[in-house]
Amino acid sequence: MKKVWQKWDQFWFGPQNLLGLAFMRVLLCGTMFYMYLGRLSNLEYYTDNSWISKAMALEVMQDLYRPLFLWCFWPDSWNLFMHILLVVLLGVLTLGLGGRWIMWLAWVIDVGFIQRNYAVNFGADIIAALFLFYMSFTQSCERLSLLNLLRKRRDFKGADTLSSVMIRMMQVQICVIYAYTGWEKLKGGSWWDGTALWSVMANPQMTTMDFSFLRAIPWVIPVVAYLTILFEVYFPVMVAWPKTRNIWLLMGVLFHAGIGIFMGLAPFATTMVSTYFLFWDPRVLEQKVVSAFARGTGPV
Amino acid sequence: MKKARLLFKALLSLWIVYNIFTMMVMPNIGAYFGRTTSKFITPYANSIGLNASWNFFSPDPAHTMYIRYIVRYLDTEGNETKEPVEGFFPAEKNKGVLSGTRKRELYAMRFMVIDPKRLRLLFGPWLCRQYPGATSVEMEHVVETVPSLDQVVTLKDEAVQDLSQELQFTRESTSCVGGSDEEAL
Repeated sequence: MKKVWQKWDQFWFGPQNLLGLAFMRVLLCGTMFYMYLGRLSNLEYYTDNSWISKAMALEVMQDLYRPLFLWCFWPDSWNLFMHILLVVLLGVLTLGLGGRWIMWLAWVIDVGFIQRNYAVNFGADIIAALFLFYMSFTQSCERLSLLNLLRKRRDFKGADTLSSVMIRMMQVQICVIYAYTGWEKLKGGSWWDGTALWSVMANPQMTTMDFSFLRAIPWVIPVVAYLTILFEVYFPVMVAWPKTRNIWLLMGVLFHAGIGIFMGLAPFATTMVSTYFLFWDPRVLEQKVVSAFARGTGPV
Repeated sequence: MKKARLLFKALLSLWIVYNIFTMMVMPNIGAYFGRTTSKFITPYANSIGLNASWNFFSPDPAHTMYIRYIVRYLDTEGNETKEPVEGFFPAEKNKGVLSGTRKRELYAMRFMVIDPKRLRLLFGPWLCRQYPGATSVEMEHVVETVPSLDQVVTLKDEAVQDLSQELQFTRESTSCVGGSDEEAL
């Protein structure tokens, strides 16, 4: 029993390097900053002039998925102010200025907008908000902060217990997301058949260019479709095993680059890839990226 | 101090187990574990955003779809006072929405067509507001099928679009005059 507890303690509460978390923060908050800067021109979606009035915001959700209360505690007339505040907070967090409370406030506002009009959410909105929730309990601004650069700070704190737990939880969360996306595909006949990807690539509503040339090389479709399923279903196992971790993460970067470029879902791609920094060896990040940058500018 | 730390870890451990159980069960909430534990996990999951099913492009990818609508202008005797207006939502119809600022309309359309009630109670009244003076709107969910891979490979000389079929699914209408509908979603 003692051994089990020791292993549990080591896995969940053992000190974690905060550099990977900081890289994730930059990419995740940067993506959200970009997405919500663009959403400033869609604020009418979050008023009673849109499809969903505030009174119906909860009612439109299915019973089992309906929250007990709305996080958007503000009236619709405050939307412009709250949205600008959200964008500013995300910009500040991208630069590493702020901490847990600022991130928590950003999360509350973000979820408030997500719940206010559930019909217009991207997958990226949902996933980014979930990771922002976990991250709001961490010391995500300890590294890669503008303040560190200005103060020429050289010594950095290690992760506290809560940060360590949340880093692990985010690793588990992304594994669960990938596994489920793979399992859900296995329910579909066209994924088993290998032709599902054609339905995506030949659908002009889902792509950024004409992919009809693929009919001349049809074997590419099932190969990529099966690789997609293998990548998603086995993601948890392959990133848990150090020997296959980097190749799987590299596959993930290529997979999401394809989604970002050819399907116009760049924010979704960068949101997913941001979590990869939690798996990469922090020593490599330290030596290859941070040190190279610091030689030019000073410690970050 | 050591005791407090241990207590903190014990409490965190409870949360870890609960959170992982919730994230594993929520995407499959209709299954046995979901049915039997939903009242313990859904209030938490739905509040923090774990209420997602992670079914991107699955079980099968969707076909091209849009909403076709006709706005009618009638007098009290049912005679047309103005030419009906036909429109599509998103306005791009079967093309992709390239404008970054309007891309969310594609997602709104998919949300509406899932349930005919949404068309009647959410989308219809919105359309009425877009066309002041309208008396009613008729809406239909149109699907343009993506031809199968085998079909496009066999019929190489045919354009992909020519092999597509247009199918009409849900058809609903909303009155733009009179009191609001009391029907619940």
